[in-house]
Amino acid sequence: MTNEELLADRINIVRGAANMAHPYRIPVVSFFVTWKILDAGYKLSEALESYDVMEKVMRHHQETYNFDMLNDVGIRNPYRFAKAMGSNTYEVNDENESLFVHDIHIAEPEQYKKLTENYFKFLWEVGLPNKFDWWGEETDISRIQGAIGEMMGFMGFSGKINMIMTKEYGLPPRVAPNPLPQMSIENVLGFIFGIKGTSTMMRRNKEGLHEVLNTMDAMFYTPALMGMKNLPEGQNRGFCYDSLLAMLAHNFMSPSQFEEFYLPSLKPYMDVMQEKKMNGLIFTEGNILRFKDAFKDYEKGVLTLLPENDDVFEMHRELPNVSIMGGMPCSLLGHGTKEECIDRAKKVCDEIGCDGGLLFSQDKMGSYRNDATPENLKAVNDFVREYRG
Amino acid sequence: MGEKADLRQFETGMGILMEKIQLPGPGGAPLPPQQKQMLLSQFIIFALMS
Repeated sequence: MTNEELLADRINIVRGAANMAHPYRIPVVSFFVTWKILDAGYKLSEALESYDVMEKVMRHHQETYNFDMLNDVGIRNPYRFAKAMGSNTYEVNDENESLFVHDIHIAEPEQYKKLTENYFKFLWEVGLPNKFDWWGEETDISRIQGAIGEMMGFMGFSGKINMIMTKEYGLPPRVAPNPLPQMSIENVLGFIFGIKGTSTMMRRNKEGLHEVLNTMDAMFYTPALMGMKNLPEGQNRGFCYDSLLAMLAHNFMSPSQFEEFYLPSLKPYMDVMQEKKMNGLIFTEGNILRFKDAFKDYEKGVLTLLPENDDVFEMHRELPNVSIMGGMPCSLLGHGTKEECIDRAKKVCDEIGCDGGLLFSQDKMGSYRNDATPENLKAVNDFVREYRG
Repeated sequence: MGEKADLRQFETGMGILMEKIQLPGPGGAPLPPQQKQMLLSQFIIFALMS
């Protein structure tokens, strides 16, 4: 096949699985992040600090394992930019081959009123000095100029590596460039008040948290959803998915908190996906099955869930209407024999793939060297690519 | 050490960045003010999230 034919074929099988329409083979999807740096023979810091090295890593990953879709093209961690800003978010340890991403919060819950009064003023006057001790009365402008240069460099690499993967390897981009709805509660937990602050607000200041969410929804989430609603109906077949949503905050919620703070945002998103006949990919970090009822009423072919800790067989039983991206435990890829890995892959293909809605992938973001051996990963990918059930 | 500025207040601080930060657009020409402000806002959010 030419690269153009390969690209079209891959989009067809990914969309076919997302639509639960029994594509002629099961797509093989990469969920590897920093593992692929180590696998390509580099130190973490070498690839995170050099886009040339990261490009070599991506080429090695695709040339060795021949995936149909990649969840990360080497842009998961904007390390150089964070470093230029003096951020302490990332901690790289080449000796242990580990990258830690620290929990961020830029404000305390009692400062929420400032956010609701003027969001950007709040980010500027509360967030920036809280996070960066050099931001204030005598701020070095050249440092900001340098950091903005890094941001532009990161965006440039992102565009370049996506282009390389598409043009040279026939790999379709993951998500169409549509308006990107990001749920406000995820940003509140992800970087504004952090896990602890958001949990505190959910218990002690529900009204305040609702005010914050309403303010942010009006600025970002609602306009993005409206943007999706205004798109032409149907799937953009130049890409694997029409939309991507990442869920993390639900892990810190009780069922009643989920009903109150999460579902009112999540449901309209899924409704839009169904109404517009689009494919939405939802990365459900941690565990999601305790909130399975939120997903059960959607038609087949609307939602793909990318689970982490949930049992994919249970997910398939409980939510037969959603397609599943996953199935292969990294613990087995890293520590099992080749036969054990292929047995597991066959079981996943037989039991989940038989309904036409399986995108074969790993059960977590592959980060550490022991998350897979190259031999096991290659054997499993070859098996699934050839499997015709 | 480079030039220093008082960036404590949002309104005046954004004005300073609009004036001092160089952001060449396509072909090297300066970005139009509206695009420049959008990019600076994007920078602030990216900085706080990264």
